Amino acid sequence: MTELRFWLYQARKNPLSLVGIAIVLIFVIIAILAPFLAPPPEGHIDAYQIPRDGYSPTPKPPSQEYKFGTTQGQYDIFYGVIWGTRSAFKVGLLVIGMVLVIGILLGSIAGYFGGLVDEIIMRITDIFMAFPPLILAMAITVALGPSLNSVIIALTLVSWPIYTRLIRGDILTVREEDYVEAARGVGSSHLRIIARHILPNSIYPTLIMASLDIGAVVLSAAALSFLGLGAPEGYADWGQMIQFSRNWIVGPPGNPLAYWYTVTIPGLFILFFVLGWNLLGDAFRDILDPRLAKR
Amino acid sequence: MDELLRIRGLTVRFYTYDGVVQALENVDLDINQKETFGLVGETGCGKTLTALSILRLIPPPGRIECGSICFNIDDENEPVDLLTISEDGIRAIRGSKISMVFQEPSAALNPVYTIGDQISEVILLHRRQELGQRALEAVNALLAETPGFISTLARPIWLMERKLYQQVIQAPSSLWLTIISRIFLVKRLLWRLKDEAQKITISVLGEVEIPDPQRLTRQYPHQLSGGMEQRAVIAMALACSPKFLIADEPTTSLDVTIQAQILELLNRLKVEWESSILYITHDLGVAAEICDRVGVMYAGSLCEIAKVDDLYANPLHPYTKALLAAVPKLGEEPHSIGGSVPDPLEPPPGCRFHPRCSSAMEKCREQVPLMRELAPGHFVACYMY
Repeated sequence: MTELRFWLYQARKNPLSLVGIAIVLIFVIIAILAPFLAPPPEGHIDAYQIPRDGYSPTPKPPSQEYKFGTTQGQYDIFYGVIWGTRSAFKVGLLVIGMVLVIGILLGSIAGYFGGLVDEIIMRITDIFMAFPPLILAMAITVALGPSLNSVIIALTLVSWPIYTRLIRGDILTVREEDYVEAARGVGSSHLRIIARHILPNSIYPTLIMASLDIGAVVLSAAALSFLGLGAPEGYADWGQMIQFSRNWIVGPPGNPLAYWYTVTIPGLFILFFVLGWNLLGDAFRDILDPRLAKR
Repeated sequence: MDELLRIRGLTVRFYTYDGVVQALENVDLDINQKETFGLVGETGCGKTLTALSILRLIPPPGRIECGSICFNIDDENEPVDLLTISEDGIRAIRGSKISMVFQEPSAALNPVYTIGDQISEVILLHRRQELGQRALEAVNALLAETPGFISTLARPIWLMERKLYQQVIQAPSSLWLTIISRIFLVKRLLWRLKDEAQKITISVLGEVEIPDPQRLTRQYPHQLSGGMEQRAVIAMALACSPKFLIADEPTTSLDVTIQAQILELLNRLKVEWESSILYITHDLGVAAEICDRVGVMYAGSLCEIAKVDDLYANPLHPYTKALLAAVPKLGEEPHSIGGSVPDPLEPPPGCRFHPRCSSAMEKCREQVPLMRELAPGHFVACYMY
């Protein structure tokens, strides 16, 4: 109970973190309510496939039927961004989840046991980190064949080394603490020492980075989709929505903002999603870390 | 008097990039039942390493090269050699038969758990059977006594709990129980173990003279004062009533009044719990206060062992004499020992103290002097006698 009050107190002290929580909550609600906000038309097989109204390449402005208008190829923008929220969560949470599992596992083995194991794991992370992340992700996606799943796998493979290193570094400092020695002195096993004594004291920087990174991962996934390496055409995905609008950023001469809705709406969704997670990351830092200001 | 611990020829070396550090050379040491043995010496002379060797906790790149540490677990069984038993074996001894109190109490407590959680953890680790017994009794009492409506509702759960606790008593570390205790909700049936551990924790905290132990179990380490923290650490070490307590400079970071209280507490507990203490300190005054026998260490080996009164009245080894002379006294200039501690990478040949010794002889430079018993119970490693 006092824990909860302390959390609320911390959150109130920093209004920006409340904004972050609110933004992410709104996106969660949008993702959950997608079938009601944008019901798929009758006889639609795959709900993630954006319904289209004809094949004309020219976007149409917002109307009664299409609230945000239609983009190139007459895909419904409203439907795309609503269901795209689900894709964004899928990519962000899956990638960060897998990266955390790999990072915590390998990072704690490398950091705790040290020696040869540490050397091998760290050299492998070096190999992965030697490539520019986005280029490597592109290469992996191309090799696996463009699809949302390939994007998830590629981004996981690109991001795990950073997490492994971060966790290993934090474990190296905590490993030398007296209470770890004391835990060993009362007869705890290695697994118990790592899980109960080292990780709870070293995981916070990683968790904070993870919540900051969910936004960044979605951004990278959008970049891959924009390059045509992500979801198949017509799949509800913000990156793809922006790709559709690539030719319509500037309108015809004399009316440059004619097709503003094609870029701005998916762009705003991405912007707020990333902003929300970044603010939430800061909030996590204030709330979760027991070593910060809990007096 | 019966022996509790017998260290013979203990040699510890650290293999570093700069070379081999000879941290401990041929340490021989006996500790009797129910006595307090003091280990004194300068910083870096190997006091703490001796203690860590007993628990086999030497950090890499250190290695125990040779020697034996025989420990009398109880009167019925043969003594075991702590250096040769299995990893599981030593783990079962750590914390239950031999436990250690560290120098810096605030660092020896994990900042993210309450004091109660940390002490219960030790009890849950080593006294499972006893906890199972207590839990079983509690369940049996419930089954026998509670009448009426509630009992009919809760009876199936209690019966299941009883089955589980019987298992805990019979085979506390069986695979089946390990799996059960990991499963969500099912592990809640074992909650009475934690409850009983918490009760023992409170009584142990009461033993170390902590006022209001109930409240302390819910507090985090940073909410306590240094003296309270050290009491909590001592309680953690005593949670499984060990036969042998290693106290590594437990009062160094405390102020003098608290120090006196802690020493008094250790003395009382030693008598009450009939255990032995290895007390490591660099403070000769503290050693005189609490110890029955004292060993003086210099640069990785012992140079003198004697009863505490003997040592202070009649120091024999030149290093002991110099140490006693260096104790600061009011109104006098302190005497320091000339020269400096030898480089452990290249210790001097022969007696390691000879470069700083005023009465060094030719022989001291060549041969290592062996421990000899000059008077009953008074051992010295020096060629002068």
